[in-house]
Amino acid sequence: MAWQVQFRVFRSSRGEVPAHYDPFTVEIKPDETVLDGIERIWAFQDRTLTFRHACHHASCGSCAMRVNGVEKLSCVTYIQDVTTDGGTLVVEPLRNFPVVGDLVVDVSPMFHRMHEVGMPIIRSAEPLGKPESFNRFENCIECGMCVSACPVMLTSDQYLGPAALAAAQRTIAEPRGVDVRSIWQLADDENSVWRCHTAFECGEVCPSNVDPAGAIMALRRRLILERIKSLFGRGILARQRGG
Amino acid sequence: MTGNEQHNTALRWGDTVRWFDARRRGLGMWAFALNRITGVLLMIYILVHFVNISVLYLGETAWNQLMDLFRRPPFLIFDVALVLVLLYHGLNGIRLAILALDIGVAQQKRIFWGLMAFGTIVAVFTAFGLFRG
Repeated sequence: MAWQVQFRVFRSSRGEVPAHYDPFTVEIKPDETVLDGIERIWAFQDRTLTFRHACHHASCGSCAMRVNGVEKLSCVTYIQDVTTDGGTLVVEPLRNFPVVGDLVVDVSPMFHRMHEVGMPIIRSAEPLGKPESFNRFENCIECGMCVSACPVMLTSDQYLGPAALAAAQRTIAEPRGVDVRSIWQLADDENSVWRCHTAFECGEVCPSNVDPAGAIMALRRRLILERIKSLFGRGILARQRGG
Repeated sequence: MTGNEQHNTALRWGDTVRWFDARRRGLGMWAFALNRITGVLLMIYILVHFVNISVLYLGETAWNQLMDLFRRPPFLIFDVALVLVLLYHGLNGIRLAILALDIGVAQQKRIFWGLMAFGTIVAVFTAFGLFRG
């Protein structure tokens, strides 16, 4: 049996201030997804609604948005998990990215930052052993949800961000021929590893168990050890200072 | 929607208020927001404390009168609240320092609740001691 759900959808064209929310009443089954509802709005109520989607099975990350204030992949977020019959769903674009239009954001700033740290998306053989060793950065689907959830990114445009820092940690841990000196320099910066305030929201919302916060803490530990080593003129940081 | 717009400044102070919106967020975000709130409260307390101890300049009688006032139950409740704020901020700070060394990151929620349980026990004993005089 279908539920009646009111979608309150964020609407904004580039540069339009202030943005507003449009209400749409949608007949939808509880085991359908938020993306199903948005597609129905576009198909039957408002063809001007802009949103992004592709795979419909949590592989591409393109349908990432905020549902009732929390980052979700709308293609795998079931209606029954986020509202009730007669309830309301507030649907908004990701935070901390420029809005292109309605629910679409420009994620290129995140990709530029990931490119700076080597963008380690090449998958080598998976390690065998404990299950947690499978939580590798290569599982990242580049959805940008960690960037949106991070409270530090709310107030700083300069912060490298959880996705890029997780990528940096992966590249340093497994360089595969990449020169990691510049990545160490990027990581050991006030707007990088040291800017994180350990709120763990990046890991809470990550749909792929990448655990960016864990990666940042691993980088911190290595940097602290390298700083101690550098006091005795040893280690990567000391060598960098020495040219 | 300021958070979704591009800004030229490095720090967007206007959006700082959104640090405190932890609705529907995880434990880490609540801990983050509470740490900031308790930090501000401790800063205010230190300023008030400076004003209090400056009463010493008014002489011994004024100081003793102030101390008598502070021993009354309403002020003791304030003292207990101060201990709670101090314990939260301090213990969460220890948690963050441990996590920054990449120790127990996967158990961060358990570490939080463990330290909070310890803090609650300390607060109860402190409150008991304060009210017993």
